[in-house]
Amino acid sequence: MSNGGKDPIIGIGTGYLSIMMIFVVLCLTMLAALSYSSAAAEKKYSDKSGEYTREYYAADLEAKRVLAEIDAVAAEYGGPQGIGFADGLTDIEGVSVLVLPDGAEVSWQTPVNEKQSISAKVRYSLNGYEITEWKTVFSSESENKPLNVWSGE
Amino acid sequence: MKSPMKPVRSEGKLNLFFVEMIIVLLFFGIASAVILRSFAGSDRMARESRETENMAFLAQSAAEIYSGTASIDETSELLLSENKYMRRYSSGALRTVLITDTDVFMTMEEASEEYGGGTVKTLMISFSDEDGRTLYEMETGAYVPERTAIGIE
Repeated sequence: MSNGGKDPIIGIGTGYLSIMMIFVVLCLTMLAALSYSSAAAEKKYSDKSGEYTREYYAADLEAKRVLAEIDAVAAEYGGPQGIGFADGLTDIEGVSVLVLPDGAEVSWQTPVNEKQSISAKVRYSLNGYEITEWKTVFSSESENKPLNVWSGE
Repeated sequence: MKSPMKPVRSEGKLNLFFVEMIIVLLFFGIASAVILRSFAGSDRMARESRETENMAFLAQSAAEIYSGTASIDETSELLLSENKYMRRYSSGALRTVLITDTDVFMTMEEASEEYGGGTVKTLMISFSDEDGRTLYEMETGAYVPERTAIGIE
């Protein structure tokens, strides 16, 4: 059915399609960018969380190895009041001993990462040992480092 | 406000409209292909981060149980008692389970290190896919002192 070029054809004028397409593509691009950045942030967070879990349990295991070494020294010298117990512990790196009237308190730190460490304290007496502290603390370096806060100048 | 609908009188205008439509469709096709790829990437990243979180939580639960029990049998019993897991392989110090609906295998392997005062038992927890690619792994452990060490009751 030809209109012979006389009857007007009702349609969308030239250019409107391009404008609509640009608008739709812009909206889709924005949504895609938002979803991508959100997913990337989520992935970064979960990777960091997984990495921290791995680091923490590796440090926890290392601290238990130090405890095993201390206990081996205690077994060798016959307990905290045995002669040479405190001297025997000097071979173990990072361990400090406080000699008490009824035993000894042994403490050490195992680094988890650059900022945190596991701080452990074990109290030895004639009856054996008791873990009095096993907690995560900020490393002295990061604790002394001031926060980068704007001073208003 | 001027309506976007207007009469198109000539064949030339009609042709122009179709040419524009073809260009718009082509551009929209290319743009949507890029945007769809971005959405697919976001979805993949979101799934990966969810998997990493789940694996880290499961590994953390296993590590906590193992710290308390120092036994791979008790750990696997307590951890895998729910129906979310299917036992695949179990031999001596090795346990492999399939986490249902994820196609991810969890493997736990136990080892021992002897010290003078006791034993440090280590547990390597690793997650891998069907192709054997390691997705996440961590090591934990427990110290089991000997009764003879310094008279631990």
